[in-house]
Amino acid sequence: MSTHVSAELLSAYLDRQLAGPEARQLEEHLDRCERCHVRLEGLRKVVTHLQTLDPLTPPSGLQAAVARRIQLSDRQPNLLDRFEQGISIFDRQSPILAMFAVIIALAMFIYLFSYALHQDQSGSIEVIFQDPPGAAAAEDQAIGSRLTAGGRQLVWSVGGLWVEEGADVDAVARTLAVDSDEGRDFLAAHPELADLAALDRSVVVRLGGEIVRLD
Amino acid sequence: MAALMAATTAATPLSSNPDLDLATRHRYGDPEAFEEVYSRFSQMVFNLAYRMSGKTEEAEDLTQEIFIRIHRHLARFNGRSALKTWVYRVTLNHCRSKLGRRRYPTQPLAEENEGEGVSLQDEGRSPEDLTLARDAGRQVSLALRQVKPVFREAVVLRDLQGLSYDEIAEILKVRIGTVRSRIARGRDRLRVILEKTT
Repeated sequence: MSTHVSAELLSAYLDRQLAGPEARQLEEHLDRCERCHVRLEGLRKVVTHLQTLDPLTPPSGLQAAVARRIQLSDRQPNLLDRFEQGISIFDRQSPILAMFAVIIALAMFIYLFSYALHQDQSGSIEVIFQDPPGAAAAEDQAIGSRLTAGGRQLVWSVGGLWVEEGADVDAVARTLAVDSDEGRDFLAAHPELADLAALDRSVVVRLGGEIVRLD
Repeated sequence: MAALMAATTAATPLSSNPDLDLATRHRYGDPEAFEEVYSRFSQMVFNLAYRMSGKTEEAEDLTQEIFIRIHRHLARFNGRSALKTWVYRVTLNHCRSKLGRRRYPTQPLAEENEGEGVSLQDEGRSPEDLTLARDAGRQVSLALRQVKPVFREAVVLRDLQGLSYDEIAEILKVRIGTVRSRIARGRDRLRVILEKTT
C-alpha cells in the first residue's frame, strides 16, 4: 500500500467492516504514514462526537397533535384516499360489486364504440385537427394528421393533400376541379364524396379501381 | 366500549410476526396498535426529521405528517421488511419530498442551533461536562447541516441511530458498497468542516 488510503477504507476500518488481511495491511500502512494516521484520527473524532450527541425528546404535546390531525384527515379524505377506499370496497368486501362495475364499464364502452361507428358511417365530418395548416412549414409539422370524412380515413400528406389511407398519390388517374362542370357532374354521380369536397382542400381518394384527385 | 374492543381484538387474526400483528390490529380498528407504533418510533422519527431539517419546529411538523402517513398506510404493511425499516423509509421519503421541494437544508454554520439543549441524558453530568458536551454537540450538529443530504442520511443512520450497514442498505435500497461510500464521504466532509472551525 504505497499511496494514501481513501476515506472510505478508513471509515470502514473504524466500523470494523474490513476483513482481517485488509485490516492488517491498512494498519501496517498507518504505522508508516502520518497523513493517513491523522486522517483516521480525525474521522474517529467525528464518529465519537456524533455518537455522543444526545437524542432529542419529542415535545410532550406532539402525540396529541398527531391524533388531532389524524382525526381531521379521517374526516376529509383526499381524492386518492377516496379512490383507494372505492377500490378497497370492490377488492375486499364485495366481488359482486366489482363484477357489476365491470359490466357497466363494458356496456358504456360498447355504447360509445357503436355510437362512433354510427357517426362514421353516417358520413358526418369529424375533424381531428380543426385547423389544417396552410403554410408550408406548418404543413410539414402536420404531416400524418388524420381526418375522418365521408366515412373515409384521410391522412394529411406532403404537398397539402388529404390522401385516403392506402391511396397512391403517384397513381392518380384523373384530377377534377370541384367547381368545374365536370367536377360538379362527378360529385352529383358520387354524393358520398360531398363531405370530402366540403373540406375545401385537395383530396385524393380511391374510387373502385381508380385514384382520383379532387381540387 | 371495552367489550367491543375485546371483541375486535379477539376477532383479529394474528400471525407469528409481531410487526405484522400490529398492522393487522390497526387494520381491524384497534387504536392501541397505532399508539404502540407511535411510542416505539416517535423518538426515532423526530430525531431523524430534526437531523434532516435542522430545525426543531420543522421536525415537529414533519413528525406529525410522517405519523399521519404511517396511520394511513400501516394497514397495508406486509411484513416483508421489519416495521422499523418501513418506518425509516416512510420517514426519509417524507423528509426528502418535503425538504427537497424547497432548497434542501444545507445551512450556514453561524445559524442558531435551537434544539441541542433538549437531552435525555443531561441528569448526572457536571455543569462543566455539560457545557463541553453541548459545545462539541453544537459544533457537530451545525457541521452536520453542511453535509449533503444523501451523505447526511447515511451518517445519521449509522452514527446517530446506530444502525448496521445491512440495515442502512435495506432502508435506502442501495448496496452495502454504496452505504460504505456514503458514510465515509459524510464523515470525511464533517471532519474537514470541524477541522476548519476548531
